[in-house]
Amino acid sequence: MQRPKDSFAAPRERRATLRHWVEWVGVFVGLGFAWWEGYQPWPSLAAHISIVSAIIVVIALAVLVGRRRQSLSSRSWLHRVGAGLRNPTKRSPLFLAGSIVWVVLVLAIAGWDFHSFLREVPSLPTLSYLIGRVSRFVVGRSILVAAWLALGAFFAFSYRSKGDVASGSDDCGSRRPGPASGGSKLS
Amino acid sequence: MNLGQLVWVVLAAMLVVWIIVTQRFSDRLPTLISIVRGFLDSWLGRCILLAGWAEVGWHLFCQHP
Repeated sequence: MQRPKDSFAAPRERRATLRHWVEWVGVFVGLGFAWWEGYQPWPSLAAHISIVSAIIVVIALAVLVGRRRQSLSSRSWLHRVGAGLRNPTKRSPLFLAGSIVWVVLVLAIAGWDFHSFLREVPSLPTLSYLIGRVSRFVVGRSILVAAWLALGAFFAFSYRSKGDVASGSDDCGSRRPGPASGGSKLS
Repeated sequence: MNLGQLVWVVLAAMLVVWIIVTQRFSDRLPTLISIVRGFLDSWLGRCILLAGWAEVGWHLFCQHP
């Protein structure tokens, strides 16, 4: 005997509403934290404890929310990365050129930062120094902390599979995509 | 503006232009979001990004700027 469609839809809607509220509460808590953090000078114990606490909370939430909701196992992912590096010509030449530009840009930024760090002269500021010029102000530090928290939340919660994967798991508790999931359903 | 700041401005401009170009031709070029998404596909990639994020946070907000 089948249940009517509405009896499935109602709990789904309730879950969606609850999720919506939880997301908004998270946004307000994050903004409140960023505002408060703006008043904490970097050498203070409060700044150190609060930043470490934020890191622990985000990582704990990533593990909690992401349990069994990862589209690839770490082994499959490593295999895919290795295959891509071994056979780069499988991609189009334009895609390959674009990838090389990304690598060059990242190396240029890291290289210039490292060069400035080694020289240690005022005319060659490091990226940290430039960001420090902003974070020394309350508003600047608050905005940077808010942006940093948003990035952490993006890394922790985005691109999760729906959790209906069928089989297989790696040592981190994730599951390989099964035929039901299609391996690409993202929340 | 000194040499160091000028180089940073040029690098930032190049990065922004490249992000816009890749986004405009996202069907043929790798975008920033597609690269990040590639990492987020697995726990290992996600752990790498989260470790970098944690290190950046500690460095920017708890060490001498």
